[in-house]
Amino acid sequence: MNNITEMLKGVLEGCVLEIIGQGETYGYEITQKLRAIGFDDVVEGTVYTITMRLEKKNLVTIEKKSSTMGPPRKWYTLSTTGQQERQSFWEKWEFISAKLEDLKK
Amino acid sequence: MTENRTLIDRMLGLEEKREWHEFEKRAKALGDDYYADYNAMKKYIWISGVEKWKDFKFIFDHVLDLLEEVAIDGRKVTSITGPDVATFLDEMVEHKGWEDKQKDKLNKIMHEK
Repeated sequence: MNNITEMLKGVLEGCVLEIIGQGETYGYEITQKLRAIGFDDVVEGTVYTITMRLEKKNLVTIEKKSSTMGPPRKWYTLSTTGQQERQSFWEKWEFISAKLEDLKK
Repeated sequence: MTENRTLIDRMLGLEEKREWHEFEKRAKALGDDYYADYNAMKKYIWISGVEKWKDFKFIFDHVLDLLEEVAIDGRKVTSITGPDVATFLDEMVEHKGWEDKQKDKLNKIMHEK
């Protein structure tokens, strides 16, 4: 779906936390996954600034690994606080979506 | 660049200057085109409202990571950032610009009374 950037903003960080939580991954792969589920507007730069924020808040641990083709890549895994943040994101999401469903009734 | 240098001399201590030169070295190693990109982005970040060298360092390091990544396949910076590089950099510095500071200041005054 297109033109949902504004609405998606607060949610994308949670999406990235969830993707990293599912297993070690790198920026480009995260972008691809988001696009594959239908977030067409997401570009690499979007994910780039999000992972940067996660790094700043110590929610991820990073390992720089060299790749056969291209530059060394940063691989992300969730730290313990990252795991907690992932869980808290889903709690918030459940709350919001339950409230919105109530509203629609 | 002389103006810039005096500003940096005034702002940074020895260790910080060493780190600054380390970044310059990485940027120059990318070749003229990307070095020009780095300088343009650096200038923008420099006036973005970031205050601590620690925060500058974090951002410059990531800008350079990005440039090193695109430089390898000769891609354009915009292939990662999207067409709006300024907004991308605002996101990177989390846009604590002048306006935000004025907002904080106003709210602080209103609550103090």
